[in-house]
Amino acid sequence: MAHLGIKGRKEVTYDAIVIGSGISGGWAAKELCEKGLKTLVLERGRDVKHIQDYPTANKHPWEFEFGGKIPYDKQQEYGHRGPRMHESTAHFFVKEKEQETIEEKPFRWTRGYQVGGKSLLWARQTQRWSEFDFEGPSRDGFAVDWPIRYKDIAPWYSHVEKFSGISGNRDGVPQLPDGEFLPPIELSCVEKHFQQVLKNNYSDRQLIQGRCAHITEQKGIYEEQGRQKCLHRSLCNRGCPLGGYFSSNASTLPWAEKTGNLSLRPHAVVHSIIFDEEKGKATGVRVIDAQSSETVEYYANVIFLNASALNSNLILLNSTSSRFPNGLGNDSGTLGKYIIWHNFRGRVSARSEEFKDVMSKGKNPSHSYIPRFRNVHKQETDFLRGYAVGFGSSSRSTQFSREGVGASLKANLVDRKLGPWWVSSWMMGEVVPIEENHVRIHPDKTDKYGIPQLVLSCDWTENDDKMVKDYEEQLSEMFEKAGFQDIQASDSHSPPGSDIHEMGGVRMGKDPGSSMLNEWNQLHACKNVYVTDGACMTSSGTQNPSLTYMALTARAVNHAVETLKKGEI
Amino acid sequence: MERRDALRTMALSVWGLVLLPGCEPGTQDGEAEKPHKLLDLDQIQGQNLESIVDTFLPETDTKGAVELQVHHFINRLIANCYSEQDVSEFVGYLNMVEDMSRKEKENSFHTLSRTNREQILTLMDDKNQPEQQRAYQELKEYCILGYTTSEYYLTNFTNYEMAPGGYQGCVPVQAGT
Repeated sequence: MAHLGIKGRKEVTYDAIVIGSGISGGWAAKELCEKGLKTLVLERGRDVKHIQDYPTANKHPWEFEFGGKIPYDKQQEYGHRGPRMHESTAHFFVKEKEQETIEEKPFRWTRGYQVGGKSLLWARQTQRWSEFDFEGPSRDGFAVDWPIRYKDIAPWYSHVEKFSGISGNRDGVPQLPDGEFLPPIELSCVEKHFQQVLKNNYSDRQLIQGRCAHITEQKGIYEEQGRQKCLHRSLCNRGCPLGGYFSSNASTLPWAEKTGNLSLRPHAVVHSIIFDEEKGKATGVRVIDAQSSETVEYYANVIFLNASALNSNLILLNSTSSRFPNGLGNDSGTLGKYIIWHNFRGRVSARSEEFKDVMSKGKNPSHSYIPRFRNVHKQETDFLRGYAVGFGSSSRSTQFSREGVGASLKANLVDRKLGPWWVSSWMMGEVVPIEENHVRIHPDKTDKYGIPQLVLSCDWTENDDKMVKDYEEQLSEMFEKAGFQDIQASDSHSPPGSDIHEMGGVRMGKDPGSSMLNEWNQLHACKNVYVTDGACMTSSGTQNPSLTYMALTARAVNHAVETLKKGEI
Repeated sequence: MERRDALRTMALSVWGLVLLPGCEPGTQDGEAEKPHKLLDLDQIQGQNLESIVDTFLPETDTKGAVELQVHHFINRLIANCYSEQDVSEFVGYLNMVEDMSRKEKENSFHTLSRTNREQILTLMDDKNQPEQQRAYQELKEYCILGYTTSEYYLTNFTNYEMAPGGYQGCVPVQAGT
């Protein structure tokens, strides 16, 4: 409380500051506020209040002026994504001019700059990491060893699962540990068939129902959050007025607010973290007000950096001082390096000509899943690591003929008939971190806030190419065994980042000489700064990453509060 | 103030009376406040667009596409959501229909009988004339898009439900589905 001498400083001093309000920032806010810390959450975008700021949530398809397409001028503002933007969700994506970047190599960086971040837009798939993932780098000799193991994070997975609401089966798969599950969504007949085919033909492969952050059974804890059971609208990315799926907006942020300890500051673009050379620690955050362009400083004893993986890298790289000329905490020189993501390039699709006498009813907001089966127990292929597979064949849709002109065409359109069951799968491959895959700040070019532009320099390696090929071969073989027809395998060659699972750059590790963060997600060299979003990831695993960020965040907050009490940071 | 409010109320009620009977697709509340561009069509092009929509999807024992205002939907969609080049290509398709009509029937497309109009469109669906065929296919697809995304179509001919409430992955096929 030494700041009190400076006039007005008291108003901008908090116990804790959280940078970012997305899936991990929301968790940091909830945990910090619950533990009694006056917490400021900084969000660079606008506020999005649960329910009231979901303008399209209850719109019928025919209520979109242009059938869902957005006007051409607006499309241009979203860059490559523009032509595919849908009016129902466009307002949750970031326009290019908001934060210009330099793609030294092609990269698709999807940002959700608003309160709630990308927790409004995520795919809601939530799988735990296993010991095989944490031990991966050490066993296979890449990156650095994770400073934690499954047993360190397991209780925190339970903690966040119970609160978020995760539906799934207890499948007993060693490489995908079971969690605290709400009842599963059921499998379709085709999925059950494929599950049986895998069971009969392979000892290492298993189709399971996806584990997803949807409330499939109402419980007290969700009622307390004001959330309801998922009604299978499958319009999730518009924002769910029921709170049927987990988002910061529906869950953690209102929970934090109820404690009376939360201050939420939208339109706060973080420029850098302030490091006090004398104290040898971070004292606050420098912010540019997006509306007034004024620079404002906020102070706190502990700072959680949850700005989304690449933006957290950018903020640290831009937080320079004489102690840290190359970015805050960057003694190892690894900041911005070893960027990883997931390899979603491969797709294999087909159709089933069986199951003609059955159909599906309602909608499935999730899909089924094949846990990683390559190189799990030992190295057995000519590429490192492996891939999980998303599998979808949950609805049998109807179709109509487009033949004819006039009355005959009209008759065709209204004569909808059940089509075949379509089957699709997509890979989610582990990308092995290498030093060359990096981000850095441009020495001269800045964005509209005067913040350096991020240079994105990431590319595929031969390991990724081999993995795509193996996935195509293996899934084609599995589909053949299942009797699926018209099997089509393809490699999109889409640039890194298309998966929206970018990670790393501020990796965890045991050795301060080769990593940025310790086993508690603290910067080795600046212990009152915790980084618990995707930037902290040492390796990528094959799991959808959000659940792991949530668990790491809750665990880190617990550590931060205990350490603060002891006066150690 | 009172007079102005009264006027507004009246305007609204007139608006409602005029538009409510045929309010699919895209005549929802609020549209009046959201001005959008329209295609810069001459009279013949404009009438032909409506006529093409009517020819592809006429009123039968089910509603026709013109009643569902699909021609307005297509106009709005092309004018607002496509590049200048795409817009001029689309206007080119309308002109190709008119040219074919002039050539074959010596009259403007929209003045022709339904049978003749169907004949013109069918003639354009010729794989040896790829440009004409493309015009035919594109125009047809926009008609299908407008029709199959209308409230009338979705609520009468599909099992559209905003909130089905659940999911069953394997139920017997019921008659009529």
